Amino acid sequence: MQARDGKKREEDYMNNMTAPMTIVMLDDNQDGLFLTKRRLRQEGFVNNVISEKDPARLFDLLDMISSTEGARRSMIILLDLNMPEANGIEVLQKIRKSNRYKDATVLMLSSSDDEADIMDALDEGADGYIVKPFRSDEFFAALSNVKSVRYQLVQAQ
Amino acid sequence: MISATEATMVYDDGLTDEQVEARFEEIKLRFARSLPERIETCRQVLPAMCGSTPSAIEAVQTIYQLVHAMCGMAGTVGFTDVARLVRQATSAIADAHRAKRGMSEAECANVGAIIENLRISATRIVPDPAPGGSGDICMAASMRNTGQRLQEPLAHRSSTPDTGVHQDHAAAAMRILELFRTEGMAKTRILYIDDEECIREIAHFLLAREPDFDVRHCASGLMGLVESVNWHPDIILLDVVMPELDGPHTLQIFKAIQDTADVPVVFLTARFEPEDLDEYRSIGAAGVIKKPFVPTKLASQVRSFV
Repeated sequence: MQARDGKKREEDYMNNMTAPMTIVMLDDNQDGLFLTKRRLRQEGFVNNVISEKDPARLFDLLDMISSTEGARRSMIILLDLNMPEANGIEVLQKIRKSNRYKDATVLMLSSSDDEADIMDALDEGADGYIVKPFRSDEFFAALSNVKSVRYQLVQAQ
Repeated sequence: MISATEATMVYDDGLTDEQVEARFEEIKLRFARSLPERIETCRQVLPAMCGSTPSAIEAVQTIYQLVHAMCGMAGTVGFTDVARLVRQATSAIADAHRAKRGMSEAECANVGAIIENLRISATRIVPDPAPGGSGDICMAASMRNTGQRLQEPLAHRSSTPDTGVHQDHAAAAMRILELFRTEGMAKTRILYIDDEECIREIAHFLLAREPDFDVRHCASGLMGLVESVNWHPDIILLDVVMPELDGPHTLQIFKAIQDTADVPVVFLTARFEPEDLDEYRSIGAAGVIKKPFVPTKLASQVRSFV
């Protein structure tokens, strides 16, 4: 396990953030969910990952998190692109159309490295796209991109 | 709605590193074991991809889902050769998948060659059956589970005076017996496919409370197809009216695939008159259960088809 190393990196990362972060991940494959969670764990994200496998319940989960912790934590949503029941893109569209979460940070997670899939996701407003199995540097690169986006937003306001 | 406790539970799963690794190994093993079947299914559906008929388009979608499902998994569990080939296959099918078209013969041949390489590559991943090898992980997990369940009566025993020991021995023995009776028994595997979530959950609840039933459910014909190839159900309960791939079409695919060709498929439908039965049977259904089903009768109805 590279957990210790990862934990330190998470701390570094957290220290640079204004608020701690909650990662909400959606993947309707139970094994896939576990594997991603394990990877995040290796990167040091142990107690701040919430997973959900039912797309229909995602918004309930988001409501709950933001009503209890929204003020304190920033939230990153990891969406699996290929779910048989609901396409990840459709879920992303729903998030972008919703009043409450349209500005949420959404990273797409997919086993497809097909350029068309990546472009689709970015066109629909994803903040980043990570190809599974993801390497640490890719994951943190995606996160830091997001961070800079957030930073710019704050600057602009 | 999600309750706060439920969310707290998923928030911190409380697993130790060892437990996470054990589960990882278990998933890896299960995936390795499922590979030959997954690939065989691809090989069987392959010829159907050529051409421009609706069934060719369907076959393209099916294979894409099948290879795609292997894609993330193979890489994540560290089967790099398999991951590379699966990725090749996914790219080769991606265009047709996106355009919702069938494939030319040359394209089919190309995919066929990749799948053949994949098959050869997968045979190199042989799960280790030796004691202490990863094959024992599932067994170890099950034994741990058993041990935990036995803790309670044994703790009770140690806290009671000597006179109570025999009784508690007997009680513990009964629990062990019960445990093996329910867990060791070969259960009837039932796969329930229905796009309506609430009905799926009711059916799951009604069937899963039978001790000899092992129930899984899926929300679409396609998911049912993937699940049945991996899980080998003894009986499939199939909703007739579903979006995209409906019941009869799903049945056709089940019958076309070697693994599922002999599994009895029972339709569930609200639109059913007794004279329709012959028609359903003629396309390969073992029978029909009328919806809405009677809660007290569903299990026995299902049993009559096994």
